[in-house]
Amino acid sequence: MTKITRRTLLRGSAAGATVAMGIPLLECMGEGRGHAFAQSLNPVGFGVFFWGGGIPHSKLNDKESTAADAYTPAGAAGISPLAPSALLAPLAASSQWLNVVTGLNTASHQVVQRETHFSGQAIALTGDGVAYIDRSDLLYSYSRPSIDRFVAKYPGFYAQPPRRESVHTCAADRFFKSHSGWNCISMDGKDQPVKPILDPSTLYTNLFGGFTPGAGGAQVRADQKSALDAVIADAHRLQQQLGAEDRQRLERHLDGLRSIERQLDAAPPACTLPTAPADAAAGLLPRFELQAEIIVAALRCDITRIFSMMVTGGAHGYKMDKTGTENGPGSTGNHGALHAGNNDAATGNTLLSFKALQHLLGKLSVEESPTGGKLLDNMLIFATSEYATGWHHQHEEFPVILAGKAGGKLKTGQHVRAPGGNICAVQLAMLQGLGLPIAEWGFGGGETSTPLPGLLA
Amino acid sequence: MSERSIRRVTTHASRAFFLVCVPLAIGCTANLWGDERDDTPSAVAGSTAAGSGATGAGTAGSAGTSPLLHPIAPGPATLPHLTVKQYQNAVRRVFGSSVVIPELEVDNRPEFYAVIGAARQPLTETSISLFWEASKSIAQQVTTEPLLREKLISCPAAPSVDAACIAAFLSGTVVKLLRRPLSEEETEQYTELISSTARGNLWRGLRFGLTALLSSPAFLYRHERTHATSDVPDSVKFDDYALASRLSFLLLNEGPDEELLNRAAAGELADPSQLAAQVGRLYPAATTSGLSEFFHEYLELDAAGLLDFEGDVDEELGAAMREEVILLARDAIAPGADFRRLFTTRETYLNGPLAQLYGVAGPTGNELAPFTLTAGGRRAGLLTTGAFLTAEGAEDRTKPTNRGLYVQFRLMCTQIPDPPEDIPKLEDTGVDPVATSVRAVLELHQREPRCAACHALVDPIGIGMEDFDQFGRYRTTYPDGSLVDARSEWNGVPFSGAAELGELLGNDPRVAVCMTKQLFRYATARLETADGEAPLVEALTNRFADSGYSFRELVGALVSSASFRYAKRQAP
Repeated sequence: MTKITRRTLLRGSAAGATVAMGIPLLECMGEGRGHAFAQSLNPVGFGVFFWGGGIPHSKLNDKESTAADAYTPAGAAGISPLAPSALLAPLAASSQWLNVVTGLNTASHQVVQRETHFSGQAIALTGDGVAYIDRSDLLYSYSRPSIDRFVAKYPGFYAQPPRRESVHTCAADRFFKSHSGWNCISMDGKDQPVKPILDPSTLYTNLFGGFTPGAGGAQVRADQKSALDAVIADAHRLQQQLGAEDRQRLERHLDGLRSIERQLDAAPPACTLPTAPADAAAGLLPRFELQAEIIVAALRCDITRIFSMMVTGGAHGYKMDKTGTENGPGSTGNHGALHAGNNDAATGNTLLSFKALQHLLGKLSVEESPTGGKLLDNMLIFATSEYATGWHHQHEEFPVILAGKAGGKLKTGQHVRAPGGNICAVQLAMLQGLGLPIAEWGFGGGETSTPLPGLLA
Repeated sequence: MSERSIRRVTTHASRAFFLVCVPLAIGCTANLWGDERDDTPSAVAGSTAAGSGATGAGTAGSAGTSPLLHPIAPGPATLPHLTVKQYQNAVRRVFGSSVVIPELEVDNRPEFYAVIGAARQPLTETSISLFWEASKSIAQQVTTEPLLREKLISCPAAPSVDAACIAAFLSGTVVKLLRRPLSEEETEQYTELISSTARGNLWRGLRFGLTALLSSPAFLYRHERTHATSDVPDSVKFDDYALASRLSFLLLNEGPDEELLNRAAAGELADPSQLAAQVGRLYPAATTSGLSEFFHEYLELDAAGLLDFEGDVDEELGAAMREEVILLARDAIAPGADFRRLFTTRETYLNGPLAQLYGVAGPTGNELAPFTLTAGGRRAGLLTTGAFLTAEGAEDRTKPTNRGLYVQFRLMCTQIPDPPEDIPKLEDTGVDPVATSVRAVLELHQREPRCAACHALVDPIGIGMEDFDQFGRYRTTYPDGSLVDARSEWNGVPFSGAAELGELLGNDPRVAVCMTKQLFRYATARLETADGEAPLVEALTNRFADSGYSFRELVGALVSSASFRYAKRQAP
């Protein structure tokens, strides 16, 4: 792939037309890469990777288990060089980019009413417990924004919002509950779910479709802009007729329209656009891989810097065999099998999820970042699940894997063992690694002002 | 039950949280029935005693000062965005069913209903961008494909850019989309947009005009306009177009048709009798569209055939199960029908696979056909349908507690308090969890005082339906050969089996109260207010009972009620 210089970016399209960039490049910046960017421009990207079902149970993470631990890498409490375990084998090629953080739990938080799926997910992704559990329909909500949306909205993270503030996908198209909080991992706050795009073709069109308008492209773009202006005028007109609460909803709507406006205003990015996926891939892994191609392209082309990707939702029933092959021989519906203590199912689920993660990391480790180096040099990926193990749905040894150097702010290639560690301390380290001036983090019992030692460079 | 199964039951911390011992803090039971206490038989004036089955003689059903027309205070207006189905319905109705509609963000359903989610939850950046992409795609299709073009305009001069033609488009097609005429300002804006983007070809201009219209908040949000009124204190009155829209979304799950728009234009819908006449006109279609969607969401038919999240998915059988319940509901809400038949009827609809599952020599093939189950048999009504029985089960066993919860939450509108935080495992309570049957496990809940109060509300319901397995098959023995014992009690009345429970539920006035509440919520996209609208729900339920539980009458009464036609005046 051709390296993209800032000059190229500033020039925009190959035709050399003057363009309004989604991300402003300040005059004070030198020609240097990455770290030379001005303070107001954060060159670091952030992604969340989530899988339902946790990891297998073992003597380490479940007092009732007699199984050997196949997940935790070697190493005493503190920092060790990372030597991937059997379960982490799919990620071995990315070892140098990883921090496998073990020993964490959610003990400092109150886990609401033993509801351990969504509480674990909420704590891992927001630092706080759930806002509520509506047991009549098992509908849930976080109490606050998920960490990806928190970062996306954090003042100054983006000097200006890029074409897309954040992008969210899910490879699974079946959920434990298709119409409640189980179908997403990102939220803007209580009762504000940000649902993922499922179909890779839709994802492609959503991010890249506007850049290939076909014949008469410039005119089409101008006319689309006129159409959008009418929509925005309609939104303002409606807003004037509403009460305060609904006016606020329309303001959010206008934010979304402005995001489309930014896309229309920007010229096609000066990068190699991905090709549109052909037919929708069948199966979790193929679908995830197609989504990952598009997400990585969006990062490479600087269309967004924040994403969340789900392989599966919490309590999913997808079937996979013990090698991590979906519908392979001996596959069982995952969540039911986990309840039954079936470690083959747990192993297969973990392996499949890590194969997906490796596919993503493999791409991020070789693709050029628009701000210099490889994408993983400038990114931080946070991979986690809904609980530690499915057998008893407990949170001891909560699985957390970080990937990427966050512009040099994170050390990598490590196993960070923190027995009894507070997951919020990892989140604080991540937020500081992303350059956010946050001194304290954690809610509902998880408050901390100490980032987990060993992560920050 | 094996030891492993027991452990699973006792440690499952999500779906089967009530299978875990659920201790009750002091006071948990005080509000156990929530506001239902106000709606129990005594509150439904003149209605039946629990289980008696007789039709009540309501006293609050007449108009005049009845809360039907004048509740103390109607609740607030809502601003739902279109649900995915409503968006799809609108596009297909206006442009034809061959339009391909791209993926949109899936709806959430707080309080069971997508419309409530649409009124509560803001659209996200992703959702808005998906609407935009869908608008572009649909606009492109309908302005380029000859058969679809015909539905847009009928100007002979097209594709020349003709002002009269644009005006006809804006006052025809666009009114159907926006559910009201455009304002002068809007007309001017869209005329200009279409003209300026036409570039000599009207179809091109219409493409960009439609792209905007289909993404416009004027289309995507159901903004139901109101005007001042002195009819009801502190209230505003929905205008005619808003009433047309409210009625149409309730009955058809889409925007108003031409007749409704014409009535609105004539200012006739403010008259309750005119509104009632429209209910009469649209009701037959409603039983297969909007009200069908209501029952789909209310009864959570998505879950039919899914065996919860743990088992095999048999899509075709699940679809047949859903369809069976939709058809049962259609019959129960037919004009003149007693709605309670939903719980008791043996007149059902089966296809080959479903008949095989039910163990009857019924229809063959894949199409559902009417079939009468054996009189006096074990299968009758909703609670014995595959849809209900599979929705709350696991791969290898039933979940009686969850079946009980379904009945309490959905059919009784019971508010069961959240379990306290420190729920111990059964093992830790000193109770021996080793049991040999589902009944024995559930009885453990009763032996533990901290568990008993809540479980007493749900476990007996589930126990009484143990004569059907998790696949919806009737059974007399468990896989280990032990006998199924489905004897239980409802309100102190003994019964045995799901069919008998259905009979008791059908005759329980609380179920009718709950039904009324659910329809109210679906119709208004919000919960009823605790103060002003509680009397209305009561009065509506009485009307329902007075009519012999005619759902048609309930819909008519709801539509004529002040909460449907008025809204609380909001502070500016």
